[in-house]
Amino acid sequence: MNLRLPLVLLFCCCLFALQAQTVTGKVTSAEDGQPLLGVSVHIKNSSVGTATNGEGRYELAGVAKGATLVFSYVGYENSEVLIRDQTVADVVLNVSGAALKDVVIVAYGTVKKSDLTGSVSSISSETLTRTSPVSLDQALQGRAAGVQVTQVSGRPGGETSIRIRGSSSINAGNEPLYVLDGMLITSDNGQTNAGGIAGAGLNGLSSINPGDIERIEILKDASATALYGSRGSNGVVLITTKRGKAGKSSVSFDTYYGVQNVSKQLEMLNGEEFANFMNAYSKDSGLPYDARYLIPEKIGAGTDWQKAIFRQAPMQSYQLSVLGGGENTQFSLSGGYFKQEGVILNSDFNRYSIRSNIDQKVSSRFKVGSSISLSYISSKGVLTGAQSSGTGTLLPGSTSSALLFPPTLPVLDASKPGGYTFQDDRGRNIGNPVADALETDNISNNARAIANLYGVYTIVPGLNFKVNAGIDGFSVKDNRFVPNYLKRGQSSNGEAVVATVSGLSWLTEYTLNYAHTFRERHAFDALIGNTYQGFHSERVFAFSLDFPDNRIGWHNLGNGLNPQPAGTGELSWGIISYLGRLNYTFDNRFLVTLTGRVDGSSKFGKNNKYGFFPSGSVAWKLHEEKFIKRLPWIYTLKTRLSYGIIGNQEIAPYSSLATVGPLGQGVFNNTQAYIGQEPLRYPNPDLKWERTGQMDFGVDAEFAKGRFGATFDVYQKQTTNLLLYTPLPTTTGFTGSLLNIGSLRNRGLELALNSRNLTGAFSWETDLNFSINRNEITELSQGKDIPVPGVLTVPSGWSLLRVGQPIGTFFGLQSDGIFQSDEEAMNSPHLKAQKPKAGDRKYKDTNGRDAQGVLTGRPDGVIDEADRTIIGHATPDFTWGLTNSFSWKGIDLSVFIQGVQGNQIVNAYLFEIGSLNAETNVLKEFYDNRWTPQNPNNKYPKVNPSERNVFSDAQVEDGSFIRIKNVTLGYTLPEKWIKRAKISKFRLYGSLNNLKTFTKYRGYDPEVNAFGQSHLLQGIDYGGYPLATSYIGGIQIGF
Amino acid sequence: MKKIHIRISVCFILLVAGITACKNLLEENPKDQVFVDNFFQTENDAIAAINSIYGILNATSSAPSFGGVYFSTYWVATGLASDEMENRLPVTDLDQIATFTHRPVNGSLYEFWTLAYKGVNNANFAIGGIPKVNMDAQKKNALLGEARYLRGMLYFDLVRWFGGVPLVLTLDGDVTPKRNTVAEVYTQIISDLQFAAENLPDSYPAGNGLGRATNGAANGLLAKVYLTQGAWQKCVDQCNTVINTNRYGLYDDFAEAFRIPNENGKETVFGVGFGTANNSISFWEAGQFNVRLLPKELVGAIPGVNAQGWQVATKNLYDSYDAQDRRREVTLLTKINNVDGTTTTVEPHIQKYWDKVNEPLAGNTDHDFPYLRFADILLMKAEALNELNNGPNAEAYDAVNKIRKRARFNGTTELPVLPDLQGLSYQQFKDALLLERRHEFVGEGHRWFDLVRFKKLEELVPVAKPGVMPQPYHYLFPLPQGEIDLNPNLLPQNPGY
Repeated sequence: MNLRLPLVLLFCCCLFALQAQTVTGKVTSAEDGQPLLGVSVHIKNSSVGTATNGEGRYELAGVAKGATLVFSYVGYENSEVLIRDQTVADVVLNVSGAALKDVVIVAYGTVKKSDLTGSVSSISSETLTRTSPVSLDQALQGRAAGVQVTQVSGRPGGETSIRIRGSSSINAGNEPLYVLDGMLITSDNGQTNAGGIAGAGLNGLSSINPGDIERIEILKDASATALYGSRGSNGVVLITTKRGKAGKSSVSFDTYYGVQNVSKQLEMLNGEEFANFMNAYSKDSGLPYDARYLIPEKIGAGTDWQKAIFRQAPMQSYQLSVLGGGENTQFSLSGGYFKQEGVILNSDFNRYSIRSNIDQKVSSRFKVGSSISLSYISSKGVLTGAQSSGTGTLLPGSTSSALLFPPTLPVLDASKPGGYTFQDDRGRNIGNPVADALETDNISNNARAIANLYGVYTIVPGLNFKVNAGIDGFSVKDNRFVPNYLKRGQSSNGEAVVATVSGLSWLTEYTLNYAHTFRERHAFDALIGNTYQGFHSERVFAFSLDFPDNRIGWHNLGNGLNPQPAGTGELSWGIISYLGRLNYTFDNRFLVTLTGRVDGSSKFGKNNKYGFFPSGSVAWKLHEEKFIKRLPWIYTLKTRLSYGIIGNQEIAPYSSLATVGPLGQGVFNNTQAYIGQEPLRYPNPDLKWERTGQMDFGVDAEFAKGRFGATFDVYQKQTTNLLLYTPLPTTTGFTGSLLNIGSLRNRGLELALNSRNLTGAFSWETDLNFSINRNEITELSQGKDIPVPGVLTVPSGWSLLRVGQPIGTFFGLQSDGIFQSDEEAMNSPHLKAQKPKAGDRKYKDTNGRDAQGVLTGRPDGVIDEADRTIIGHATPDFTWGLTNSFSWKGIDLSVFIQGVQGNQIVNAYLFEIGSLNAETNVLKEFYDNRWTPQNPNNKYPKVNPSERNVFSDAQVEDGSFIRIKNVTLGYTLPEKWIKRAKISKFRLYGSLNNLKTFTKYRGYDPEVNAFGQSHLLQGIDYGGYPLATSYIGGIQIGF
Repeated sequence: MKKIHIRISVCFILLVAGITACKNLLEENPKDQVFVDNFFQTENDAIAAINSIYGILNATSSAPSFGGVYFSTYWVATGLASDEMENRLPVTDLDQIATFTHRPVNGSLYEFWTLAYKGVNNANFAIGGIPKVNMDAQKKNALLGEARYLRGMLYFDLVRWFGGVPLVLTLDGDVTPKRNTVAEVYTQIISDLQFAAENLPDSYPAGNGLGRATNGAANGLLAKVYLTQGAWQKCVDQCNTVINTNRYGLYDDFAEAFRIPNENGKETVFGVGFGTANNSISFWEAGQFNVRLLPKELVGAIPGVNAQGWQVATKNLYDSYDAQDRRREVTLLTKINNVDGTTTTVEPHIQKYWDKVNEPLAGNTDHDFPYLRFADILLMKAEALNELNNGPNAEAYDAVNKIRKRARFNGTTELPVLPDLQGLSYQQFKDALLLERRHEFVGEGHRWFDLVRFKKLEELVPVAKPGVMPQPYHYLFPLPQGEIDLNPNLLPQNPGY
C-alpha cells in the first residue's frame, strides 16, 4: 500500500515530462447553470492546480495526456476528467446535497431510491411549503398514497387524525410513530394535553414548524417499519429538517399574510321565519299562540348567530433561516413566528420556534452533530362541541349553540349581568353563543424542546459506529375560566381550572453499520444496534367553583369559594430494543433486506415483556436485465415483495397491572365507618402487543427516461391479538379487561403517478395518488357485536364492532319516508309508546325478537331496537390527491385537489336542527319543505314530530367530497433584476387554501370528527370547529 | 490492527453499557398508584384489604348494581322463591323467581353471582397478600381468619344457590374455570371456616371492630354447613360450641332482637352492617329494608316517607301465625294509623326491620342484615338432634321451646299460646320446626334454603301461591346465562334449565 503512491507520482511525472498541454474550461453549477467561482482544479495525485475565476473559467498548463483533472468545490461533489487530446474541459458540478434527491431516508439509515425494497412515500419540502400548512401533519394531507389525513378540527393548531393503510387497532392507538431527525417523539395528543381546557384539543405536532422541514418519508409496509418493532404497525413518519450545506451560505426570509373565512354557513331560519315556525308549532300542538311570535314581520331578520360568532380572521407567518458552513462545519439556523386567529371569536394560535442544526467533522474519522428545536405555543380555544358543566349538565358549545339559539333573541341585553342575553327562551337551556365564546378563557400554553445529538465514528472505512441521544420535553399549562354571568357558569357561579402536564421522553441509540462490496457484485450493508427510550410525565389539575369576582378567575384559583380536590398524576414507560438489518444486493439486480427488532416494553405484562418483530423483502431491478433493456421506453422497472411482523403497544402504561384503590366501604355496628382497598382492575400478566403481519407487493416504474413514473402497491395487514376491552367472566371479580383478543384486517392498493407532461420553457407536471383500503374486523370475543356507547345526543349502539364489518359501522333504523295519513300512521308498525300522526317519520319493520329474546328475522309489527341494521360506514371507499404544477418564465402555478369518496357521516346536529320540535332553531330546508297536509312529501317530517332522538339513516349522510385544497400562484423575479440588491431569490406568491369543497354533506364540512382521533367514535359530527378558507399572500427572499 | 481492536472494543462497551444501565426500564413502578403486587406493606394495608370484603357485602358503587351481596337480592330472591313473599315490584326477573318461572337469563340471579364472586376475589386478594405483611402473627392469622370466614360464607351461599360452582382461590386464577363438584366446594368451605374458627377472636370491643367476624360466627356457620350436608352430629357439636361460649342468648322479647341498639348484641352471631355512620360515608351504604318492605300507604302516617312495598308477605304466611304470636305483630304490618286519625288496612308487609323508636321516620335504615342469629343456632341444634336420634330428645325440645317461650312473651307478659312442644314423632317434630323457622326468620333470607333442605318446595309453595308449581329442578337456581356465554366451561347447566 505504501508503495503505490510514490510509484504513481513517478509515473505522472514521467508523463508530464513527456507531453504537457494547457487545458481551459468553464465550471458551472448543475443546480442553476451559474458559473462557480473559486473551484479548485488540480491534477490528480499532484500538487499542480489552479482555481476558477468569477466567470467560472480556469486555465491550467502542464497537463499531461492521460492525466486526470479533479474539480472540487465546497458543497459540491468532486468531478474528475481524464485528459487525452482535448484542451477544453467544461465541467458541471453537482451539489453534494443533490444526491439526496435520489436517496430515501429509512429507519436508521438511508437507501438509494432505486435500491428500496419496501414501500415508502417521500414528500419534499417544495410540496410541503407550497400550501403554507400550519402543522406538518396537515401538510401530508392528500400527498401520499395510503395515507389518510383528516383534519378533525378547524381550530387553529387543531388535531388531525392520520391513518396509514387503515385502522389496525380498536382500543389501542392508531396514529403513526413520528421520528424527527432520529428522535422518536411523543405524538399522542392525550399525553401532551393538560386536560384543563374545553373543546377541541391542540395538535401535539403543531409545535413543529413546518417551514423547517426538508422532507418527510412515510414508511408503510412491514419491511420499512419492522425496524420500529412494537411501534411500527400504524406506519412511521420520518421527518428530516433542513441542514446546512458546505460552501454555500444562504439567508432566506419567508413571510405571508392571509385572511380566513369560515368556508360555509348553514342556512337556518331567520327571526321572522322562526316566529312563523313557532306559530305553526302552537297550532299543531293545540297550544295557545305565543305572544312573543304573534307578529312575525315585526321581528324581522333577527340575529344571525353564526354570523355573530364567526369572523374574518388574519393569519401571518415569518421565518428567517440561515444555512451554510465550511467543509468541516455546516449549520442551519432558523427562527419562526406564526400567528393565526381563528374564524370563531376569541380563538387563536401563536407559535414561536427556533431551530439549530449543526454538523461538525471533528476528524477524518469522527463526526458529530445536533438538531435542536425549541417552540412555544400560546393558543386560545373555543368550546365548540358540547361539554358537561362542573355540575354535570350537558351544554352545547359555541358552534352548536349558534345553530340552536333562537334568532329572535338579541346578542346583547343590558339588563342582564354581563350585558348579554343570558340563555335561550325555548327551555333548551343553552347559553348565549357569543358570550360563551368571548367571555370564556380557554388558554393553552405549550413549551416544547426536541433535541438530539449524534456522533459517528468510523472504525475502519465502511464500519461506522453511531451514537444518537435525544430528548423531547414538553410543558403544557391550560387555564380556563367561565364567569358567573354565563349560562355555563351559572350552576357553579363561575368556575376556573388550571392544569399542567410536563413530560420528557429520552432516547439513546447505539448502532454499528458496515457496508462492503465483495467481488464487485455482492454488496452488503449491515446494521446492528440497541436503543433505549423512556418517558415520564406529571400532571396537576386544580379546579375551583364559585367566583363572585369575575376579574380574577384562573389567575388566582384561591378566589374560588368552593375549591374542588386537586388532582395529580404521573406516568412512565420504557422500551429497550435490539435491532439488526442486512441489505444484500447481487449484481445490482436482486436486492434482499432482512430486518429484526426485539422490543421490550414496560407496558406489557410481566410474562410478555419482549417481542420479536422480523421482516424480509426482496426486490428485482428488471431494468438491469437484458430482456428489459431491449425496451427503450422502460427507464426503470422494479418489483418488490415484503412480509413482516410489526406491533402496536399504544396502550396506557400499567394496563397489565391491577391497581388497588379505595372502593368498598361500610360500617360496623352503626358507628365505625371503614373504607376498603381492593383491586380495581383485572391483573393481566400476559398482556402483550398487537401483532400485525403485513404483506406487500409493489412495482416501481419509470418510462421515457424518467418522464413518467408510477408506483403501485397492494397489501394486506392482518392484525391479531387486538388489545381489546373485553367482557370477562365475573368469576374473575371483574366484568371486563383489556385482553389480547380479536383480529382485524386491512387490505388495499395504492397508486402514485408522476408525469412531466411538458418539459420546455412552459412546464407542466402532474402528481396523482390514489388509495383504496378495506378494513374488516375478522374476530371478536366469541364473535359478539360490541356496541359503541352513546355520545352527545346520539343514543347508545349507534355504532358497533361486528365481525365482517369495518370499524366505524353505523347501526340504526331504516327510515321509510313519511306517514301520509293518521290512519296509515296508527296502523303501521311504529315506535313503542309513540302515537304517530300524519307527517311523522316512518321506519321499516324488518325484524323482531321471540320470547327468548332471539332475533327472528321477521317483522313483528313494532319498530324497536331489533329493527336496527347497518346504515353506513365512516371509512371511505377510496381517497385521492391530484396536483398539477405549471411554470413559465418564473411564474409557477400549482393546483392541488383532494378527494374522499364513499364514506358516511352521522350528522348528529339533525336530531336538533332537523327536528321541528320548537326547542331550537332549525335548518331552513327542513322547515320550508316540512310535511303539511297541503304540502305532503316523503322526506321532511312535520312540525311537532312525535319522536325524539331516534337514530336512523335520516341522520346519516354521504361524506364524500372533492376539495380544491390549494391553489398557489407565484412569481420569481428574474435574477438580473435582483442581482444588484445582492438578492439571490425573490418570489411573490398568492395561495388559496380550502378554496372550494364539492360535497352533498349538510354540515359545515365533511372532514370532521367530533371526537378527534378516536376511532371508535369516528365519523360523527356535532359542533366541530369549522374549516376555514384562507387567502394568503407571501414573499420568499433569499440572499 | 491493534488500534482497530481497541476502537471496536470501546464501541461495544458503549453498546453494552446501556443494557446494564437501563435494566429496570421495563419494570413498572408508578408512585401515584398502588398495585396488587406492592400493596401489602403494613397492618393497615391488611385491614383495608379485609374491609374491602365486608365492603362488598352491604353496598357497592360499582357494577352491576349499587347493592352488595346481602343488600336485597339475596334475601328477596330466597323469600320470593318460597311461600314467604310476593313480588309487587314490576321487574320481570323478580316476578319470575316469585312464580318459579325463572330461566338462565335472569338479572337478579346474575347480580348475586357477580357480587358474590367479587367478594370471593377481594377475599383472595387479602388471603394472598396478608402473609407478606410483617406484623404480629396472631393478629395476622385473625385477619386471615376474617377473610376465610367471609370467603367460606360466600361460597356456602353460592353452592346452595347454584350447586357446584368454580372454586376461584387466587387472583390470577383461570379466567374461564370449570365447575367444581359440590363436594369439592364444601371441602373448601369447611377448610376456610375451620381456619376462621381457630384464629378469629371471641369478640371485638364496641367501636373497635364489633361487627367483624368472630370465632362464634365461624362455628355457627359451620353448624349450618354440616346441617346442610346432613352431618348431624357435627352440626350438634358446632351448635354446642357456640352455645357453650355463653356469649350468645335470646332477648326476652322478640322485638328486642330487631332494635338497632341491640345489633351485634347477644343474639347476633353474624350480621352484615348497614348505615352511613352519621353520613360520614356514602348514603347508599344505608339499608334498604324499610324502603323496600314498608307499604306505600305509610305516607298517611309519616308524610313524605320513602316506602315502596316492593315485596310483601304472602297471606298464607300471615294466616299461619297464631294471632297472639308475638312474632306476627313484630314482623308484619297490616294496619296503618294515619295522622288524620283514620286507619288504613294493607296486605301484610314486613316491618320487623323498622325500629320505630330509633328511626321513627323509616326510610333509609341503619339496620344490619341478621345473617346468623342465635335463634337459628338453637333451631339448627333441634333439627340435627331430631335427625340424629330419629326423633326429638329432651335437648331438642329444650332448644325449640326456648324459641316458643319467647314468642309467647308480648312485651310485658307471657300469653297462653304456643305451648311448649312435647311428645312429637320424628316427622311431627320436623314439621313443627319448619313452621317455627318460618315464623322466626321472615325476611332474613332463610325460607328457600329451608324448603330446599326439608324438600318441601313442591308441597308448600302451591299452598301459599295457588297455581305456582315448583319442580324438583328448582332446588337449584340456574347458572346465569351471561356468565355461561363468557365462559362455556361452566356447562352443563343445572338440570331442568
